[in-house]
Amino acid sequence: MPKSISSAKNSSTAPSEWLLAFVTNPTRAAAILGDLTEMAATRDRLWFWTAYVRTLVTLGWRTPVAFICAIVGMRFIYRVVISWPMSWLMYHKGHAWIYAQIHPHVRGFHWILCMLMVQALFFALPFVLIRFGLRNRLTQLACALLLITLPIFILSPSPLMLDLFTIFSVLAIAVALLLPLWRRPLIVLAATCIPIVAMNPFFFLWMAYVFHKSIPLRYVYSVQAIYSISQMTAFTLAAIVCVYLYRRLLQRPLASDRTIA
Amino acid sequence: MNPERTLGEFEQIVLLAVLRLGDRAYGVTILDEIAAKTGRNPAPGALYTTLHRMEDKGLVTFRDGSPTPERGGHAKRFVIVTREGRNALASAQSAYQSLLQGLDLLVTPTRRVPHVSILRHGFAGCFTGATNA
Repeated sequence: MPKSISSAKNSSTAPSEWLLAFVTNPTRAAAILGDLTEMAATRDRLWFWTAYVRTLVTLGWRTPVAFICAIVGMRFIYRVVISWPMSWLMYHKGHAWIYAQIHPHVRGFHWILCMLMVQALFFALPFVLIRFGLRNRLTQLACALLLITLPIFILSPSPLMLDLFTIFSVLAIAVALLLPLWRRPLIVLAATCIPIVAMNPFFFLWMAYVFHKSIPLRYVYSVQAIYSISQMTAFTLAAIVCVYLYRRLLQRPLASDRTIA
Repeated sequence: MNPERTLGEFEQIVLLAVLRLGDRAYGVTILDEIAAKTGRNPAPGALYTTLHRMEDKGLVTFRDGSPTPERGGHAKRFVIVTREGRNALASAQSAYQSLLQGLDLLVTPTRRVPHVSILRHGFAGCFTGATNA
């Protein structure tokens, strides 16, 4: 190995290996660095770092791209796709709310469970779709749950519809929990949604604080900024939890542990 | 065919290279073998992405070697094609073979119909590379 490559390796093995391990896993990262070091023996130092960066980008581009697309996609869904039918159906929503007042169990499922599910899935679905692909069970489960839950908000919400889709949503979760094939994807999806769902109490507290205390407008803006930062933190946390749990629960065990044919 | 077991072109190249190398197949040797046999120089990242994807699909498995100084103390990870990998490769190759049947694409033009060349150009035409095209 040339002296230049050797010194480069000794000075920065830990950060470079840690970064590779972050986008793959420690075993794979060590082997990749070993291969690049071996290949760099007949090349120069620039080749080593160029190959390293290219490998890093090739292996790790999906997570940041998925995160950005999920944020953009969620904003688009909220502002364009949902705002129109929501305003159109406001009259029906009023009826739905009155119905929910009379039947508290429906209010519990409809206005809390399903709304939280939809809110979290608006972020989680684009993220897992780009990060893991459409063929992945996690993506398929997120897609199914969103499709089951979404009609509550975008279709004319008669009392029958409310009950029906609430039952469908709960049934879908129950079935996923019971089937071993879907249980782990459901756990990963639920854990991904937790940080996003946890933002809602913060939001309602903020709203209550603003409206009941009549605070000046400039403070409202600062609180709003804090809310936006907290929201971004929640999304970042959700993405990290999703990728981490996916590796722990859904990815196949290391090949060295499997039986060789 | 199971959609998860369908192989892309580069996946087939990698699997064939691994099978050719036998128990010497790891990142560096696979890249060298592909370069030597196909004339391509794939980026290391492309190879690792493909290998990791095939590992997740269960098409290949890995065996850890011992750390060596020329690799900066990192161990080699030797690639082994699993039974599923061999089946997927055989299936993909048989599909290619079925499509190739009757096309004679792998036969060189001078060897394909030498009698036509002889008729058109005489025996000298066969040796000067003249074809019936």
